[in-house]
Amino acid sequence: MADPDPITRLEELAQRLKKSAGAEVDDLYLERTVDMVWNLADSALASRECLRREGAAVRRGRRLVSCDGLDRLTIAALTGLKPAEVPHLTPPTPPPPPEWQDLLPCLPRETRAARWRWRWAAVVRPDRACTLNRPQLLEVSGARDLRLLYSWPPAEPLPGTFAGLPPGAQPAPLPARVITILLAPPAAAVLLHELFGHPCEADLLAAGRSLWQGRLGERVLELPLTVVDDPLDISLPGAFDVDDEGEPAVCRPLLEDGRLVGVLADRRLAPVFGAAPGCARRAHIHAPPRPRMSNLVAFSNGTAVEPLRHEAQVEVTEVAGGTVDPASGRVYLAVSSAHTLRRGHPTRGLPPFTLSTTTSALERGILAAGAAAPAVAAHGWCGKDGEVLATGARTPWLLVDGMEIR
Amino acid sequence: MNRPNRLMPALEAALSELGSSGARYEVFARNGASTLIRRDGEEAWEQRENREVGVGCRVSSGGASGFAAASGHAAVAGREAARAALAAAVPSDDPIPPGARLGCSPYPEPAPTREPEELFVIARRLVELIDRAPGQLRLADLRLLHGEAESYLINGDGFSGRARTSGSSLEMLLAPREGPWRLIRRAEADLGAWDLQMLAEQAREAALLAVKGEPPGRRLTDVLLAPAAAAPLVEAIGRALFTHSISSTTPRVSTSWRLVDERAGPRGLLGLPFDGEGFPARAIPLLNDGCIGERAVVWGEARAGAGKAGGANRPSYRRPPETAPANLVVHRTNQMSARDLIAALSEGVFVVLPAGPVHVDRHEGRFRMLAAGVTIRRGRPAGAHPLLEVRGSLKGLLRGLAATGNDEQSFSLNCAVTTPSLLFRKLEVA
Repeated sequence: MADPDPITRLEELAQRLKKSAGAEVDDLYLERTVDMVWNLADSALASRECLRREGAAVRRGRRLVSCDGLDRLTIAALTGLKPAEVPHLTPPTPPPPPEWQDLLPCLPRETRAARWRWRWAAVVRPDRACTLNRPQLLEVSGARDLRLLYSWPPAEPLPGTFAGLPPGAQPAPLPARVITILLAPPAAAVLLHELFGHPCEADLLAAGRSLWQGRLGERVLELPLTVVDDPLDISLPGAFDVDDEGEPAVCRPLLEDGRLVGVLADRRLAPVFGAAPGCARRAHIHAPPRPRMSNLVAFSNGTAVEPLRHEAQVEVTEVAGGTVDPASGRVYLAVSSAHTLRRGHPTRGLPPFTLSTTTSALERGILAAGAAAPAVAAHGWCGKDGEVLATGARTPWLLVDGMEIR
Repeated sequence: MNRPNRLMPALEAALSELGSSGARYEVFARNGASTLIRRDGEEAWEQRENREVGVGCRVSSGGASGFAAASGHAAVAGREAARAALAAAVPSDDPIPPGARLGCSPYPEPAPTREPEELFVIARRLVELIDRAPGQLRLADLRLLHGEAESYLINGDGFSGRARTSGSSLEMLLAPREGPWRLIRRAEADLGAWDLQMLAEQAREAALLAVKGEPPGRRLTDVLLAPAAAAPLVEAIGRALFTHSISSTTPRVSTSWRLVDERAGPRGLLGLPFDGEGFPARAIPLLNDGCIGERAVVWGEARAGAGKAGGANRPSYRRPPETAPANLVVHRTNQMSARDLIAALSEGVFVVLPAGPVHVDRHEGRFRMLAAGVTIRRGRPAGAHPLLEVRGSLKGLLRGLAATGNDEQSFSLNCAVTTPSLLFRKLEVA
């Protein structure tokens, strides 16, 4: 049963932090998570695991101290308050996880494991206290290390099977050359995340680790593509209403009609870029908040609704990952599932290969994009310097010219 | 470990709860502390002190078993983990090994506790050493981490073991004036083991080796992998051997391979007295004398005839033991330095660093690695490649190893890996 008035206790703690001369705390972050994991063998339930984790972290300037546990002694040790000064905090009890009998019919064939996660968090600062709302998550893992991530319950039925190369298929590789590619939404999501997600993070811009450093306000794509970071879309896994520093989340355009317009900022760097804070996220209790993407939503007005398959030689349906080198502007996509196209029809499957291009080639090379798109469940986990958190995407297909098969 | 032991209330509560349940059980508790010092691209210093404490319980009763874990050192954490494990039980074979088979091996003493100030001193010295070549490159990010942990494993049949470990890892993101940025990673059992001068020189050399140039044409060629580039592939091979995704009957194995999971140390990192289930830690030969060696697995798989017990790994209290490598070490089978190996290459590519994520398709047994390298002709550099791709099959790596160097380095990946340079015949580069 939930605390009848948990926010009052948090506000009481905020007041104590404000009054305590010795605390000098920027913020205190509290988190509780519950994971339930079902492992399958031969389509039957083989084992079940339950993980309950809670902890707290305190920041003073650029120093973060964190500890597992949410008891009064832990919080007192972190904040410098006396144990008696710490109000009795009672984080809410998690809802029951999905029943296995209800979950099983929803899962794609070849599912190896399913993981449900519930999270509660709160930020206590000397000036305010708030709780954070984030969606429950369901991660489904299949063979070939494929993982799909959804908000739970999902807005749409899960797919019947995992995408990817059919097991045992050994198609011949393509010769190295430059071609026009059709990127299906999961592949387009990776490309756009690498191009306009990480490079628009304020800490990378400030540190000279972004390929868009010094180019804010410039038009970087001829195609009038718009990319938005939307933490408020609760149907996507990266959603939140308040960020991990206690700032309200906002829907933030990063690219507007091909022009760079936005920065993902936290409280420290927001004034530097003249942006609103609200993008700080923590991978877990022991990681500090950093500017991060939430849900990437991309669209382009006035283009074809149907994928332009007749314009492309290869359709990429899935990628294993993407890399952008900020210094050279070179972009790599590790393609895991693709097929050749002839007159708009699939002809043969391809083995994994790498696509390479540059940001300057992409400026004119992204030729067309779809208008509306469903949620992309693949690549739901985003890593930055080893810190991994949930993200979502709603991206259209993209037609891209000038990509080189390596 | 000099820090106070805060595990006992949680551990005792879990044991008390499970002791009265009538189930067979196993309790694993860990108290880990780490300090990370970072200097970011704005040249500001950041400090993190993390303490991860918790309990994981496995239970088996009446033909059902379950696992659960809870964080925290208080008694409530132990009780929650025990009760949740009992509630999570589903029909399955008993996965908990008999206590009579369990025990401890001698293992290396962990390094002494390190205070944040010591890390700052080392990090500042590294910054100085890297910045000695102004204009050529800058240090875009530095992360130095030292961690230590104390773990207890208690089996309801009467076994109890205690293990203490420590380790340090370093990441440096170097930004040459021209060319791609390079991530340098290393690990050691102790901070005191770093030779900072040599480390800085090696890092600078690696970052500046291939700053300009085109990718090589797609071809099969001999490839010399420096330790940093070899490590992720050694890990992929180790994992494939543990999970049996490389069949023990199919592949030919080069006699140059001697790959061992040195679980008890002292070689490599993180030597431990017992595996993730309490079997005495031992060296598990994976590749030796041209053959695939032993297959070590968790007890549940061993009982089903899949291999010998002793192959369980448990990186955290939050996960049940799983069949996986812990401390992979590639032993040198000859004494050639990396420079000698390069000089012996009539035609090939020297790969100095990974330049992005290494993709391993475990199902197909294939890998792809973006990397930085140099074409070698008749033992001399003949062209730099800031970004190239090396790819092939794990089986190809097993049969293609021609020689090892004498320049071992350690890395903290999904498991600990220690490897020298490795020379392979006929890998695909592009």
